[in-house]
Parts: sequence; C-alpha cells; structure tokens
Amino acid sequence: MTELLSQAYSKEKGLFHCPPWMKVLAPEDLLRRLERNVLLSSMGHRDLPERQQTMTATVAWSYQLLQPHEQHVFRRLGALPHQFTMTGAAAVVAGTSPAGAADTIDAVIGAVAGLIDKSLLQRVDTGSGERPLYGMLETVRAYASLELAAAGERDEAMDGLARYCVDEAGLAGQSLVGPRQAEWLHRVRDDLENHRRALTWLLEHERVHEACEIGGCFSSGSSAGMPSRGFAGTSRFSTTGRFPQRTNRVRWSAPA
Amino acid sequence: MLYAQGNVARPPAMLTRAILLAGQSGDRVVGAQAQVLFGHVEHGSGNRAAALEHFAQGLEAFRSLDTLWGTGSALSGTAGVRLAMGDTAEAERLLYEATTMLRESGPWFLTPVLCYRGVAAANRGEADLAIGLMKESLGYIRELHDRFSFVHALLPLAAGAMLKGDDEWAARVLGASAAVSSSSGARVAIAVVQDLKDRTERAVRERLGPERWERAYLEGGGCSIDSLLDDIDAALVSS
Repeated sequence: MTELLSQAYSKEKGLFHCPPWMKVLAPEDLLRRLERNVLLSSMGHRDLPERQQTMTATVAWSYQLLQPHEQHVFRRLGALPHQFTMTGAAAVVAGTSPAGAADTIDAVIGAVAGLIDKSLLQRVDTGSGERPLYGMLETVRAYASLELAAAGERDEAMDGLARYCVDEAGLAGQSLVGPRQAEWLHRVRDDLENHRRALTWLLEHERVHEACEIGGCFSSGSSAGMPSRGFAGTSRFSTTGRFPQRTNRVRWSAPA
Repeated sequence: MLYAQGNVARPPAMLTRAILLAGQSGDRVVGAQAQVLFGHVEHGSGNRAAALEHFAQGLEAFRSLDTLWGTGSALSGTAGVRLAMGDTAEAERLLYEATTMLRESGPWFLTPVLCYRGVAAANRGEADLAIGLMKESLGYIRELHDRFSFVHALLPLAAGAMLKGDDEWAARVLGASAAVSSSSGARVAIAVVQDLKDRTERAVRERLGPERWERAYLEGGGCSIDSLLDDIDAALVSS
C-alpha cells in the first residue's frame, strides 16, 4: 500500500492520481498499472473532464465483470484501430499461433456475442450483411488498448493483425481485377485502418518483406494503384479514415 | 495520389525513381505501371510528346507481360493524348481497343475510357451519346465510390446537357462536380476534360447570366448520383 500511494502521488500537483480506479481495481492490479504508466496515460490526471473519468471508470468496471476468456478477447481487440471482421478479431486473439486464427474463431464468436450483450462492442451497420463488421466506441477501445499494454500482449496481438493483413492483401491482389472488383474495393476500404496500423508496426519491427506484401496490394501490381484514385487520393477520407456507408444513395453536399 | 489531387509537379521525380528501382529489382509490372502513370502526369503538365513516350513504354511492357488491364490502361492514356492533339479518329480507335481489353478487368478500369469517349462525343456535338456514356460511368462510380472518376465524369455530362440546350441542368452538373471536388480533394487532372469543362462553363455562364448561373450552380452541390441519373433518364426519354 505504501508503494501504491507513493506511485499514485503527484508531487507536482499535490494530488493522488487514481481515486476513481480504487473503486474498480485491486491494490496489486492498480500498482502494476501505475508502474507501467498504463493508468496514468489514460485518465490519471485529475484535470481530465469528470465525465471522461467517469466513462473510463465505467468501462473498467465492466471489464472487471467479464469472464477471463472475454477479458482476453476484449483487450486483444484493443489492437484494432477501427472496425474489424470476425476473422480479423480471431487473428489478433490468436496472436502468433500459426494456425490459431481458424481454431480460435468459434471461441471468439462466443466472446464477441458476450461483449455485444455487455455493450462493450457494437455491430457496425455497413448495409451489407455478407461480411459483418464490429467496432468499439473510442473510449472503450482506448481502455482495451491500455489493458492490452498492461498485460504485455501488444506485440502478440499485432503479430496476429499483421498476419491477417498479409493474407487479406494477397487475396485482394487476386480479386481487385475482375468481376468481384467492387466488392473487394469495399473490403479493402473496410480494413484500411487495420492495414495502416499493421504496416506501421511491421516497419517499426523491420519486417520489411511482410510490409511490402501489404503495401504492394495498394500501390502496384494487380490492384493497379486503385487506392490512389479510389480512396487514398481523397485526402479528407485518408486523414479521417471515414468512408460513406455502403448505400445506393450517395450524396455529396457542397461545403458550407 | 498527388496526381489525383491535381499535383503534377512532384510526381515526375518520384516516378523516375520508381522506374529505376523497379528496373533494379526486376519488378516489370511496377515499372510498366509507373510508365503509364508518368504518361498521365506528363499529359496533365501539357507535355504531350513525353506523355506519348511513357504510354508507349508502358504499353510495350504490359503487352510483353500479357496483362490486359495494364495494356488497356496504357491504350486509354494514349487515346487521351491523341484526343487532346485533335486526332479524334485515332483516339476513338484506341478507346475501342481499350474497352475490349478492359471489359473483363472490372469497372474501375472502364471509367477513364468512358470519360474520354464522352469527351469525344461532346466534341462532335453528339449530346445523347455523351450523356448515355456518362450514365454508364455513373453507374460504375456509384458502385465503386470512385470520387476521382466522379469529378471527371460529370464534365462530359455537363457538356451533353449544354448541347441539348438545357443550360440550367449543365450548370447544376458543373456545380455538383465542383462540390465533389471540394469535399473529396479529387481534382480534374485530365487536360482534355478540363478544356471541355472550361468551354462548357463559359458558354453556359454567358447564356444564363450571373443570377441564374449562380442559383443553378449552387443547387448542383446538393445533387446525388441518383438524382443525376434520374435527370439523365428524363433527358434521354425526351429526346
């Protein structure tokens, strides 16, 4: 407890960082997070808006109530920056296990259903039921990301994401030319933020060959540079990562 | 991406390096693709001879690789330069060949070809043909969400509307193109399309006068692809 108080006390501000967390975490867990600076980076500062502190503490409370396998899936999903497919979720849960993604998918489906029931995950409305997408509210995703770091599983999850993206890029390379072109353009767009994150991580870890396998799909070869004309070429969408819903009525309005 | 945003100043150095690296690594597809993109950039810069040279090199490489989408794209780019040079017959021959090659490659490859064919039709004064071709293109664009092609496809459509004497419709379509460009960052990068736009806008502005022009142009900013397609259907039925 002495160690905990010493870690939590800010000399600069003369305040303790973590009162809201004391309501939801055991002292050992709280100390571990403080030592890794996981807690402080999210909401430890008392100058954060009270509403935000309350929201994060609420997510933390929900997390503590999850079953261990649901907690595992939840924090692994924190590696995904945006919306994701069930296959993508299974890949980050499987991590570095070579054949893990396929074996894990049934277990992940169960956990995802549980997380949806507990409002920690949402099904994203894409207008297409063929390839359902899931996503987290940003506050929830940020908390999952912190839990991932606290568990020391970030690289394991990112390895799974990278493998998923390499596989998807290979399939896209074959399918972006031909009758299923539109379907695959949407599929690549849906995963764009995941590909970006995987590319960044691979380059940080000097895994250039895999990065080229992903990059090659988007900049050359059989995809013929489609993103440069189709979506990356439109700066607004490449910076926000948002794309219009798949719908037959696409409206563009003049700027105000 | 820079080219799609209308920047033709920076890409040449990058493309030169890309071609060099592709040659060193033996990646012939990337090298050929860089040649075709270089052709578009040179065309956008007004360097027609250089553009034709790059398209020719890309065409030769893609033919040797037996890559239909690449061969068709190189032919389409060459046709665009021929069109700009006033060699309409040769341009149309190349576009026909490109269409045949690209039919099975997917709609993304067909929209530039349709745009060039629309420009050629408008230049000949064939309003219904230009409008019909852009109807086909807008169908693909709706499917693909391809804003770059959307910005371009609306300009032969506006020319077609003007040729049919419906200047307010032409102004609305021009306004729609400008709104998409403004909201997406996609710019008109193809010289012959820009030229057609300038000619159409001048004529329509003059005939409508400032007030009617501005009203119709602003109204265009609220158009959807579906409303544009409805307008096309109505225009084609009435002709």
